[in-house]
Amino acid sequence: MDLALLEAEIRKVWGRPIFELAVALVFFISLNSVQTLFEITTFPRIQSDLSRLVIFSLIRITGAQMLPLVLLCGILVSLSFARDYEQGQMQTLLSLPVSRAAIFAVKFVAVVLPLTLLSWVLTLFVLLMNYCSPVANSIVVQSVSWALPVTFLAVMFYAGLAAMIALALKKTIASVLTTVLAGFFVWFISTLTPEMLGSIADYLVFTPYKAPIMTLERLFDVPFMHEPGLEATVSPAAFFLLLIFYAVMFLVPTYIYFTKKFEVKE
Amino acid sequence: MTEFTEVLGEFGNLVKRFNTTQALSGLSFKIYKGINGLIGPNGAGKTTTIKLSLGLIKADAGRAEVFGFDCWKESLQIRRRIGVLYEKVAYYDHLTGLEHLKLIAKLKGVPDPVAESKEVLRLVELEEEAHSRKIKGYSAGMRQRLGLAHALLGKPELVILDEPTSNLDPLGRARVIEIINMLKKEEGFSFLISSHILPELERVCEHVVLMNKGKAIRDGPLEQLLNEVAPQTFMIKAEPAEPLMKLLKAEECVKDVRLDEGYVYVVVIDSTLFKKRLPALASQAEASLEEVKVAGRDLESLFRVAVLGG
Repeated sequence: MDLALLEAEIRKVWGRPIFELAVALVFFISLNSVQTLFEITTFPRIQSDLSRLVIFSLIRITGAQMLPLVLLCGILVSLSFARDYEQGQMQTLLSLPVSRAAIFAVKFVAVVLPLTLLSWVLTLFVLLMNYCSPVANSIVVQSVSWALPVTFLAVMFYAGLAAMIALALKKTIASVLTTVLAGFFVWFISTLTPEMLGSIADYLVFTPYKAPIMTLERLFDVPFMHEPGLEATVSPAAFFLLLIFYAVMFLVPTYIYFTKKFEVKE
Repeated sequence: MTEFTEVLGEFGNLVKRFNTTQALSGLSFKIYKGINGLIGPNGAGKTTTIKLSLGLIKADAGRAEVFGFDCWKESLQIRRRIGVLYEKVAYYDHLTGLEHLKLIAKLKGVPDPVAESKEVLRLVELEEEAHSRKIKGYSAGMRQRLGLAHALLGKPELVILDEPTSNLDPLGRARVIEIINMLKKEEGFSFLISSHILPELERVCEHVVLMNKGKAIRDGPLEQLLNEVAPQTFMIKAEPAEPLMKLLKAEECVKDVRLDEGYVYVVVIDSTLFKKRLPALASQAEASLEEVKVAGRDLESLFRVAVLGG
């Protein structure tokens, strides 16, 4: 992957005001989701244990960030592929002596990497700011380091989906709207209740929206957050494998299509 | 006279269809070292041919090779040796012209990206603006000149220009033609130029491919084509034109008849016989002959004749 091309692509994708808005949005959501020390009494399942408090906050922040990250990722990937196609930038890029695989990778990394890092840095910042103490700091850093791969894999799922939609539709507005609707649809499914779905609702923990949260819950073994469900029978490693599967399920076919079949017809 | 012996690209019986549109239907021609012109009306398949040569689209059938490489399967090897300017120019608009060229130069593996970027900017007379102004603030003409600089970076063996003068004013167009001529003579660049502005192409092209409806209808050295075609075509202004055209179409010495911009273009097989028959036919059609002339010996006439006769 060419770093100069990656830098140019990142500067294009994250140009003003996208970066500023993304920072403000993710920071606000993280700040709003952090579990303050004063709130401990309202959550009897959490004991006055700093470690659990940090993990509880981390999982809440990760869960709250998921929808904005999904939407941001979908919109930016759609723009990166579909707008470039419509405006002619794609044919300029594909005419350069750079492999299609490298161009595909650059476009993905330019969205996914900054978005994941943004989420990770702001989560770390908010937690450190909230629990600032020598003991808490090491707990925060250790626990947040696990959130990085989880968020990355979750974002990759939506990035793959958005790229597939953008390359299929090749129109900016249609791609962005379809991607946003798809993101909302996946989120909506995860909000359905047992009253609506019956026993099938147990399996919602495996949806691309809930699986990242469940991965963190299983990883930190936090049965104090809610009544254990089907996820309690699944190991953290299995959840990680599920996340990896989600991450590549749209990515791989889209990559093959882009590198082997994709044509710039307009 | 230039010898067209060194073949850079070869296209054989190419077929390409986009949904209901037949873009190419058996296109065959060669790109030679030198300046090649690709001429044809809108929808003739010129841009499709250019995209195909760079591996942006895949032919449904036929053979497409540039520098001996398959245009679809080995396009990366081709793109390493080609510079291209598209009619629809799109770049990283948040960069300055110089930053953009430095990026492209690095991607092309140019040894000294800064020096070469400045050199091509000097060639297209965009040095001052390119240093400070971001591309998003450029006029259409400046973008076009930057596109030309982009295409020339790395001294490619073949430069493909799709409508290179479409957004330029007359002075800018003349300058581009000068640059192309100069690069050919001094640097030995080869070009494939697709354009509608035929008088300008005529000033630079050595070898011409005339396209219509996805096929090459004429193909050869420009001088040779002009000599072959021009004397056999007459331009007639008659009033009324339709009855005369009907009679002309029935004549054995006439190959084709078309009306274009007020003139009846008549492609003839036997010009002597035609000249004898014309007054009688006009009289029979009750048409007055306001003007009769032999089509000019220029690319525009050649283009009209080829399309009419094609």
